[in-house]
Amino acid sequence: MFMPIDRTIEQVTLDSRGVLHRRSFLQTMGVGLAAAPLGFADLLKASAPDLNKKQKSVIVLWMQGGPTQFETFDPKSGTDGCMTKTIQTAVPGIQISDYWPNVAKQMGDIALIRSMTNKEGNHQRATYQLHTGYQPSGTLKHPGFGAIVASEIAPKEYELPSFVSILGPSQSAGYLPASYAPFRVATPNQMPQNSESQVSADRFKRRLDLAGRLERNYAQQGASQQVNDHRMTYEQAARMVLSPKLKAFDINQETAAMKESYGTSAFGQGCLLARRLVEQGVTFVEIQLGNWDTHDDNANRAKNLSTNAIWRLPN
Amino acid sequence: MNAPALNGKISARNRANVLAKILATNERDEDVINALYLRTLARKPAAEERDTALKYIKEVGKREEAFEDIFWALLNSTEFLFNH
Repeated sequence: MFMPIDRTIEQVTLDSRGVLHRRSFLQTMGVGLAAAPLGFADLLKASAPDLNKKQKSVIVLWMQGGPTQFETFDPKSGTDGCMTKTIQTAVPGIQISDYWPNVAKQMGDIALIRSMTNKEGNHQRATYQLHTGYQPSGTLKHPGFGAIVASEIAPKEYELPSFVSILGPSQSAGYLPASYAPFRVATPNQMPQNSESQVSADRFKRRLDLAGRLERNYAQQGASQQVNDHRMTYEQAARMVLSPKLKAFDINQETAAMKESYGTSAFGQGCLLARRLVEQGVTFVEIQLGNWDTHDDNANRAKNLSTNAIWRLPN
Repeated sequence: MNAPALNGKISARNRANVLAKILATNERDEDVINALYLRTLARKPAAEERDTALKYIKEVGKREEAFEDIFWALLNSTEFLFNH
């Protein structure tokens, strides 16, 4: 089925605050899906210069397992079996679960999508699909949105990784260069492993320089590509280790009140870390909260997950 | 690169470590370089590589520290990654 394209991707614009209008986004995506294989990556590419200029960042809260909509953003109170109470949000006509009074107050700034469906019944495949926009394929590894966004709008030569994944694997860089792969943080309240040099900064630089000089012979013998890639990775790591921006990874620099507002769960701390990272200029951060696959004891488990500290968003 | 485990093992100060033993049994710097190359890359250094290492030792001025750095550079090399 082909429909005439009456809008092109160039029409996607940002307003003065740098917000990509959801209506324009959805229209473009809709036209794209019907008429041509135009996806998220194409759209992003078209908007990249604008987004780049505005130094935009993205934080994704990835609810692994798939939260039930009935206990979260689309409760059906008053119907059989639904124990969730609803509350009115800041937007007339939109009610959500009463677990989230502070989220309800922010509804004016939330683009809520209640119409999404998917045929995929397998968590692993669906996770891949929702991260990449493609079904898993035996022959091609697609990049996840974090890698795509980092490759399109992250500042070049930035000292920290442009894409950080906290408490989860997120998705690899696929066919994009490895430098866009997620930098993984497993314990948000600790500095990343091996991020501190074991020797003084001067000696560390001297070592790197020596390593570069000793590699020349091997490179000249036909391994120049490998040596180059290897050195690039080391240089990227060294830039991070030696950068004062590395402190962004240390949530213990925050005030007690700030830490308290994010709670002591790993997820809450991960969210605080994400905040520090984007404040420092990291382009894309994904934080995972697992165990949403609540087939048994759903009402209680969904409630426990929903009342996790982070959802007490500050007023 | 920064793993404490690796940096501990390449230290020349711990007598049980390989580097300390090689330094203790070889007086000539050329022989130490040869031994480190054989151990990490299973080959002897090319003439330029040996000269680079010797020059580095002279620049640093401290024998143990310089050899720790050379050992570190060899273990973090592309060749070690592909071919050891």
